[in-house]
Amino acid sequence: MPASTRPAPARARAGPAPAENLDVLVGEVRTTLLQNSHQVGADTVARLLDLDPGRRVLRATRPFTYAVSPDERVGVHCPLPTGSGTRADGVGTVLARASVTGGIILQASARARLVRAAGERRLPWSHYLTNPGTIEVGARCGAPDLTAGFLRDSARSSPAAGPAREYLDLGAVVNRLLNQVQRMPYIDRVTMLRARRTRLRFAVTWRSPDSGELAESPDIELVVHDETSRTVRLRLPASISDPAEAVVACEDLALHDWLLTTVANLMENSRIGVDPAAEVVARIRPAVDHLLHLWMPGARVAEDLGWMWTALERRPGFSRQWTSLRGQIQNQLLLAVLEKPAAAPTHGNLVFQDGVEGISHRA
Amino acid sequence: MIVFATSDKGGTGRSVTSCNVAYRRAMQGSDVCYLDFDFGSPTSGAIFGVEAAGQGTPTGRGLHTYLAGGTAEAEQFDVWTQSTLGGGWARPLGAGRLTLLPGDAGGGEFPVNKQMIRRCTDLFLSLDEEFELTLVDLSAGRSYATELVLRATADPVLAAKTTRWLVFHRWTRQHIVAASGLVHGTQGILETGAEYGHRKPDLEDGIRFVRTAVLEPESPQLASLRPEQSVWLQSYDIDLQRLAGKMRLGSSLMIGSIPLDPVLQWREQIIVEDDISTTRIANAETGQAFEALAERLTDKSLWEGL
Amino acid sequence: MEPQLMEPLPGQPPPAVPVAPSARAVFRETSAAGRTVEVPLAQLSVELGHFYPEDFHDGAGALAAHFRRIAPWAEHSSLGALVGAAGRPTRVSTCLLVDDYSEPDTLPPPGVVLPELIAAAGAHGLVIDYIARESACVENGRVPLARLVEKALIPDPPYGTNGSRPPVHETGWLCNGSRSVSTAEVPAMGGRTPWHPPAENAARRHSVFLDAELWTEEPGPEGRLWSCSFLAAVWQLLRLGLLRARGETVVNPVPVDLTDLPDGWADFPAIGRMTPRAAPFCAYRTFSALGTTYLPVEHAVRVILGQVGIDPAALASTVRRAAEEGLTVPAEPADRLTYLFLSR
Ligand SMILES: Nc1ncnc2c1ncn2[C@@H]1O[C@H](COP(=O)(O)OP(=O)(O)OP(=O)(O)O)[C@@H](O)[C@H]1O
Ligand SMILES: [Mg+2]
Repeated sequence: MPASTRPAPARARAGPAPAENLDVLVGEVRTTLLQNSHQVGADTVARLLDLDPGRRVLRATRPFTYAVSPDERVGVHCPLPTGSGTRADGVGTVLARASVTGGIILQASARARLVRAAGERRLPWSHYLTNPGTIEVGARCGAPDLTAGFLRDSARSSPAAGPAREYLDLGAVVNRLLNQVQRMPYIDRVTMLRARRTRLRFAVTWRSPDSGELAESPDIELVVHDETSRTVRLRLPASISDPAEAVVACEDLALHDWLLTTVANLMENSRIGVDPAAEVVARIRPAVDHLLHLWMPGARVAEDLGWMWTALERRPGFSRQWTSLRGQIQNQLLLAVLEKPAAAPTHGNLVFQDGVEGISHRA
Repeated sequence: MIVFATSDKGGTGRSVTSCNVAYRRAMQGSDVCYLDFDFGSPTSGAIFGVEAAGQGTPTGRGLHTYLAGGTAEAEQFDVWTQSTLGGGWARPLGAGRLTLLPGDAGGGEFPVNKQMIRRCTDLFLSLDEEFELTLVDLSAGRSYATELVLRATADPVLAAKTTRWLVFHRWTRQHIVAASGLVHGTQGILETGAEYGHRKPDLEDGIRFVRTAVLEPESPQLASLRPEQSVWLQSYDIDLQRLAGKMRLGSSLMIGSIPLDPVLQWREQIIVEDDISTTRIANAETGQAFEALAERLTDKSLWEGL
Repeated sequence: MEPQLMEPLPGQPPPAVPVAPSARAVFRETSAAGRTVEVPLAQLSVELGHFYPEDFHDGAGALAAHFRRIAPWAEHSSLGALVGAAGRPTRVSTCLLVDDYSEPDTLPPPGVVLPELIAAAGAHGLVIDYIARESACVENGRVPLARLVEKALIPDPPYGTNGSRPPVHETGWLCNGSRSVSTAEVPAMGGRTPWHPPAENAARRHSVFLDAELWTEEPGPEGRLWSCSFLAAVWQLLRLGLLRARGETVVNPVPVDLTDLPDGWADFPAIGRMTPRAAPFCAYRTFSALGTTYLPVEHAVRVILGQVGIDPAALASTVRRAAEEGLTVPAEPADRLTYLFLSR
């Protein structure tokens, strides 16, 4: 009814060809260590993530304990970054959630699907609420332009970028969520291990079914920008249509990338070969106790996205690096035992023997 | 651990000393971040030689804007790669991270409100996830910055974090009286802290004093004094010691004493090894004093309740 | 200690990638999947009034006058058109709300109020199916409904809202645009921003700006006094069957025995069912007959409803089920509301 009172929308006039379909999923995941002196139990995790009295925390126990908060919905109306610099405004909502893996790794992610707005006018807000997690883009720019802008924008944190423009800021949404969980009363905030928050931005597009042979070949492009920032570009065949699965896959990737980054950093700063192995072991102990067993790339990823990990294992070879780190840790543990006898020779040796026995029996 | 640097008077050497301590601590292998909470004049960028933030950052994403809610994340500078000082400042082998969070260029003091305290605790908590030492340079005297951090650290979410205070003062009668007043006086740190919910004895246990730009009577720099001057200096120094003891900042509560250094007299800067051993413009004792203070920040035996 | 150290580390790296299996395993954990229950739905929920304590101090005459004026509008023949059902709607339920919240001490007990209401309505051929108490919109005995709805608010973002600042939940107000004065703190000696008028989002050239108070702080366990507008928004959502708490329904009408009424309102059910064979309380659409004094309140209700994030499954289920009956229901909750405003 209101439509009759206003002039016909601009795009009805003769002009450039009608813009093609738009469907881009963009998101950001940040990963950090839950601030607690030890890993927390499933019930505490559920309370930590119970951010909305109206909705449920979802939890799983296989292959490791995992729980995720209900989606927080955040309204936005702001410019979107584009590769070409073309102005593009978006209106809609972002969905964000927090999750805890293994009672110890805290992640938050935010995501939105960019679609073409039906007209140039902003509609009443209630319209945008009927389709949460969607941002309607007013401009005619295409998916490649928006994708390029979104993925490049992570470089904005460099001081050269000048005054911040008010682009869509998924990172802020995610960070707020992490902060919110980290200040909950159910954790003691004793830091077991210094670890940096890593961030991974992702953009997902779907190939149109009529792009011929290419239509069925998915690909993934992972870029490590610096110590903490990564971007992922996913192109999926139209047959893998569930964006929720793509988000889970990106969260899984971010989690394993964080594990690698954190453990590698820890090893680098543990003065291996400088200090006695026992001291080194004391430093890497939290990783042994709480992180090593969480390495299960792809465990939560949907079957039709399994190729993602296949590709990443080929290059750069996540598990190869992980295995080598584990080897290094194992060596330090071994050395610590070997160096020990200095303090109590016979006893230490005996125990060491026992240990070896124990293992061979079990094997 | 979070360490607050404060002083009653301006121009004490608080910023220069704490920047140097942050640098030394990072060299010793800790991951350190330095927060410029001197909201009236944010200048620590200049001391670190981070030109992009010399008088605060111009990007509108500094600590002022962050605390006021204008930006979601405060801008961080990696000092190792952004500093123009000393040429080869690439992160030395074995050194930890050294990160600067500057204020905003042109920023000023602002009154404290509830949301700001929340943002401040969020900031401290998230930095503590990754940094072993968070060093916060406050404005001199009874300032909004001091009120802000006293209220933030009184929040139970920070209860598990060790917080310590360094009170800087010069070795003069007025400075000693003023520093004592800032801690023990009316509306001083202890009194105000208690109002915000701190336990006075706990707060007091976490406070130590640092003397800056000190001329020791036996210093070679004083070799040219006439005998009368030396004698007077000796006895006056003893008077000051006595006064300091009476004012509750005697040697047992002193955690560092930084000698007067000619380089710092003329230029606010980080003293690196080159300045001492190669160009030899700075005194080795100054470097040692910074080094020692950096170590003592975490030396439990020096922070036990007295 | 040492023996443990020699044990293999936990979690040997699994085969790098699941080898493309031909057999498919189906594994599910029930706690890992969300669900939203369906609620029984009428086609229309008719609100016969909203009653304050003073309405019961003016004698039965005042109540009777109210029901007499709305009776013609509540006839089934006129209601059918509202639902879009050809002919007469088959399922209509009637309800009313008694305010036991703002001045609980001055409201006469259920034993006085209920018979009076039922008699006054009956005198004009009106049947009251459900009677609810307003305090139940705050907390229905099991679920803190007001807090739940407040938590579900997704404030209408003025241009420039990019996610970097938290939404303005804390302030206890909700508006339909941007306010005239920015409340951001200005540092000492910092520049002041000049005044600009408030603006309605998505306005048609000129704004009708509305800023609704959701609650005020109050000493007491709840700490808040919820505004009439906010509770009226909760009430509309209840009637539309769109609220869920952790996926479960929050509407559980309890049959009321008129011969055995409780002494106090606190013991009266959140929603009492007064007629045994009433159509369901919740409905695709609502119709409310109110005095014009409620016009600003209901404007606020619409502003609030336009910013509540509804459980998408609950929203979709109403549309789907209406379609199955050959009825159309608008996608947006606020569009499902119809009013009759009566002059004095
Ligand atoms: N050990 C020292 N020897 C000589 N000069 C020093 C020493 N420490 C600091 N100074 C000098 O004292 C002056 C004041 O130092 P600084 O700026 O660090 O003080 P401040 O307490 O931070 O002052 P403000 O309150 O203005 O921030 C500077 O010029 C500095 O170089
Ligand atoms: Mg200073």
